Amino acid sequence: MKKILQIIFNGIIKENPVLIMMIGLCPFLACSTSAKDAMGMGIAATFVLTCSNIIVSLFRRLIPNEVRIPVFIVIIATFTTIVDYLIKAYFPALSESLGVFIPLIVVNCIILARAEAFASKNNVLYSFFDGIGMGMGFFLAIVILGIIRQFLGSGMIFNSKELLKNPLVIMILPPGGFLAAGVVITLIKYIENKLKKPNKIISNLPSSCEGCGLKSKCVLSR
Amino acid sequence: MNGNLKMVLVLFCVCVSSALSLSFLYTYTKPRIEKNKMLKEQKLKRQLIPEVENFVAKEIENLGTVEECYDKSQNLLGVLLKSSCRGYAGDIEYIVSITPYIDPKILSLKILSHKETPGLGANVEKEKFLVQFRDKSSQEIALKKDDPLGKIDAISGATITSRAITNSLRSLLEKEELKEYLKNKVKISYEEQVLKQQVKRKPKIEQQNTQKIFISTTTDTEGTQ
Repeated sequence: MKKILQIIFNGIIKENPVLIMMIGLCPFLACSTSAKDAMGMGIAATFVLTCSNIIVSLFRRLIPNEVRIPVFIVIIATFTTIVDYLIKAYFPALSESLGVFIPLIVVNCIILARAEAFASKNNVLYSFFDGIGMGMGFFLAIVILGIIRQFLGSGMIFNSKELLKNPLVIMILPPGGFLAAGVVITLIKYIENKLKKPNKIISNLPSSCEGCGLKSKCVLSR
Repeated sequence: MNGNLKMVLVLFCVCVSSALSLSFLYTYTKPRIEKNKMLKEQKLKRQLIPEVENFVAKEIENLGTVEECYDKSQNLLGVLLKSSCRGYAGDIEYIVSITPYIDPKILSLKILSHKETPGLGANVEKEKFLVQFRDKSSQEIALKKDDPLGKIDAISGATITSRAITNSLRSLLEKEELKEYLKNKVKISYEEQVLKQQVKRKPKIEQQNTQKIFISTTTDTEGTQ
């Protein structure tokens, strides 16, 4: 049980696929022009990731090493197409707004990376929760970026009316994606560093000046 | 088992099961997807001409399927045309309803399908852009930045998409086949139609005037009304 929580925490925070491991950046940048699209993409990608992790893990001992990549890709593509048909059939409005980005989930690095690094080496239960954890990490990252870009680029938060008079249109264009993502990742790195060294004072001063090369020139040696 | 044979077998099995499950799902969801597409078109058609009761479809060469929209009393409310144009990232299909006169004006425009970028070109399907086309005749259908007579504002950041729809719509309205069809369908132009309606109203106004005169002569105390 503890291991499961550890896996989920890993996926959301410690090894967040987008913000820490820096994979899956394509859909992260492309589908974050609005918060609603970001949510749709996050959920769809999580679904494909979880399902593919389960299947890969289920058959991990049967797949020969030499052909593992093509097999993973066929499995991922199958689930992506399943998601595509289901969304077209049961959520036509979402299909309209996400459009071409649903089939592009196939090339989402996160899914292939987790199939290769985790699902092919662990049992089904852990692989399932790894899929959930990584998916939630991706979802969180893309939705946060989506909210920021949509607000700055079109003045709206989700479906609200326009709150900014002259929004920065560049934020919903491709360069804005890079700019916003850069700022967010910088913030994450800053927080990461702060957490690693909490107020560490350099206290490696020698107890005496013996053995120090600057003994002749240093003020402290007098 | 020979290593090579195992590889081939595993790949074969994976691909076959993938193909089987996908074809099953496709067959299962196809009716629903078709129905969604139908519903969307129906909904759009009703939004294009609100009081319509029935549609009569006619096939016209080079114009495709033209749908005439009649209301309860069999009055021709308008004509629906479907067309498509090449946008930024693919084809954009749209339906437009026009007034049934020789110099047609646009009643309403709706986008059926497109592949434009979400957040940019995709905004052509929003009312904010489409409502600009209401009540415009073909000379007014051009981007303001392209043509001094044009009355259409492009979407900022999506000029190519805006221009594609605007120009396609204009050339649709200027098609010879459309003019021929409208000439045969409706013999009078918009101005004549308006005049006709004014003539119908006139007798009633004259009736009221005669009544007023009658009242003022009998009461005698009232001044002019």
